[in-house]
Amino acid sequence: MMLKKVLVNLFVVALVAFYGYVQDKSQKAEWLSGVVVAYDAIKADTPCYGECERSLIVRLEAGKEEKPQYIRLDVRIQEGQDFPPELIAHKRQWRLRVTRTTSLDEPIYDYVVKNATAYSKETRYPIWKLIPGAEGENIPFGEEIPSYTMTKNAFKALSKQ
Amino acid sequence: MSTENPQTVINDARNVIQNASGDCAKLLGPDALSRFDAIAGNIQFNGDMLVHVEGLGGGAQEGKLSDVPATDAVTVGNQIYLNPQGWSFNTYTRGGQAYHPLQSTFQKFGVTQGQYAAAVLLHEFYIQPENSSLIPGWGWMGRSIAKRAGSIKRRF
Repeated sequence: MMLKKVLVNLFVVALVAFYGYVQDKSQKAEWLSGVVVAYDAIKADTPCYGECERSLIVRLEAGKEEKPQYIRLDVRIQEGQDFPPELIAHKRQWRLRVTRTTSLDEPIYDYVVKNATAYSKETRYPIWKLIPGAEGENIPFGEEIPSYTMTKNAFKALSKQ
Repeated sequence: MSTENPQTVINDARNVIQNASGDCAKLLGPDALSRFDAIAGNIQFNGDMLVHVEGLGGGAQEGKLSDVPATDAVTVGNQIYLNPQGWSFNTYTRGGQAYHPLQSTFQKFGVTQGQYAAAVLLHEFYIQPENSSLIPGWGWMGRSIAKRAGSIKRRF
């Protein structure tokens, strides 16, 4: 009986994982317009081996009455390549060539907390750093937001500097 | 978590050197174990060193080593300072769940946090002034930033 339950659970987990994989594979690249408002300061500081990613939060273009919609955008870069600094230089509108990655959706958190040790006390590190001009953004921490990926140079500026 | 203890990190790195073979042994050079033992007493957790690290947008961070958790260690002369706030030597939570900022790196290379921490120390050992002849094009260097642990890390 127990074994049957475990097998059923494993099957469900595998099915969900496979569904996510198939969904991601079937996603096509699309253009989205939005404003980059923050970048993941923790990922920005981690070493890049081979291929890696840096993450941004983008507020999508919306009507004045609509609730702001945020996405997490993972920018893929190769080791040795520089992240495009213009994306985070200041708040600006961009057209972004992106691919939806449903399986990577997750809540956005405001802090990583380092546990206390004998050598250092507990420390909170902010994950997201607001870019200049985006200080007033109300990022929905704790909520799951859609995730997308973009290759390094798949973007165009919509507004002037 | 054992990586919080410098002696564990030192022992792990020493074991790697002791058991190194093939390319890894070649990279470490002759008498690596005795050279490591000679500097082992110079390794300490100390985040007070001054460092300069460039950020994602090109901006530079200046401050103490302990202010820059992504930099796990620095070498000054023949002293190796491990950062007590370094990613490699600590555990974390995010949203109340266990999480590690280097998780994807651990997964990519199939290493544990302990192995990664040992690799950080091996990197510092590798760039010791006495070892400069092992590194092509690398002259004497008094200080290094161990943000990238380089080829030794990849040999796990």
